[in-house]
Amino acid sequence: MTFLISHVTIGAPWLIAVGFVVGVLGGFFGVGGSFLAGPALYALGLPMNYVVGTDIAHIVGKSVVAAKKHRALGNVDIKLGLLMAFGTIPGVELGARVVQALKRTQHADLALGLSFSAVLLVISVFITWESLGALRRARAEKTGRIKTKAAGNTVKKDRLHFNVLWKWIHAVQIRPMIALPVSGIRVSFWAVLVVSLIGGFFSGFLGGGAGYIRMPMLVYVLGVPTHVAIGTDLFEIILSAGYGTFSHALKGNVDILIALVMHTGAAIGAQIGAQATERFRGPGIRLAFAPLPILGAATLLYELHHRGLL
Amino acid sequence: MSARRTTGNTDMAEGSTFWLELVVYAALIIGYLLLVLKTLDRPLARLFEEHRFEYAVGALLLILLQGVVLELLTKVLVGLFRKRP
Repeated sequence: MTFLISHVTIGAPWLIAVGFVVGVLGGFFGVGGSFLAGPALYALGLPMNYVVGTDIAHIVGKSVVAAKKHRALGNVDIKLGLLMAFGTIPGVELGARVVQALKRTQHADLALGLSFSAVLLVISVFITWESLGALRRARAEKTGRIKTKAAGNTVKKDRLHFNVLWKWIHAVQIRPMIALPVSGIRVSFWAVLVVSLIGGFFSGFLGGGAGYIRMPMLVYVLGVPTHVAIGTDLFEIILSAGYGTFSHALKGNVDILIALVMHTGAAIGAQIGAQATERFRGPGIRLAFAPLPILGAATLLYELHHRGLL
Repeated sequence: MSARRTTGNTDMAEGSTFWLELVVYAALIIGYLLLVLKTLDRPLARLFEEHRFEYAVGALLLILLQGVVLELLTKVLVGLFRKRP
């Protein structure tokens, strides 16, 4: 069918299928799924500026459902999510303005496609390295080669291989310091602001909720446990994607009908994905997530090459 | 032995309920989708061309509303199917 806003012809079943797949992945990994939805929409023929705006819109509806599920499971740190809004919203606006500037130069597809691919590749390599290290450490703890501290609190903790950064961030006591009991951490507000500003920028610049960058940053930079990072990221995505939808729609980058069609598939998938998180441990979830950004990057690079832009 | 058979029967019953839920859910969603596409495509396209601010507000409200409505629909359906003997 032809969508009258973007003037693109795409079969509705394809959009529902893409929505379903990213819905399952989003509910499971706590990310909006734009690392796959963005490349898939581009491959279906949508121009890159519409990919960014439309993807961000479909994620709003989906995140409402998934965040509610995670909240019921006790995985959302509302205080952290609300504090992050101070960085997320300016970040989204900044990203959306960069897209507008690129649209004027007629190189939006190439610049956004290459940036997206680069970010996805870096994330994938880092998460693979980190998760493998964490799983090795878990095995060593099991066999008694590494001693573990006695468990004494009720906060969900998980194993991290790369924990230098958050330990350093926690040691830097720049006021105001914020206590986050749900996450079990005490951290400077400025660290929260920087993390959320970066997440917001990528959301506005590359579309979606930018969970592919915010979720790892919550874990590795702020030291939030993986399960809480997933739920809080989804809560944050409602704010960032909500603002991003409004901002991109004003700039003419959102085909809301495409977003509505995609979301129907995503709504079903999100139900399945959120339940599945309870069955896996932190490093296992992260390792399973690792190859997905590469798949998205490969689709984007292939499509750029196919259209003669690369 | 009988305990294993009972567990197997429960799993099969849960599996068939899940697929029944999914079929009813999918049918309702496709009906809803056709209705939305049929009624909203031209008004939204006109709004996009002529009143961008109203379009932006409408787009955000539509996707939020759809999120909430589909969540409610799921809840109602799950409730209905779980009540079955």
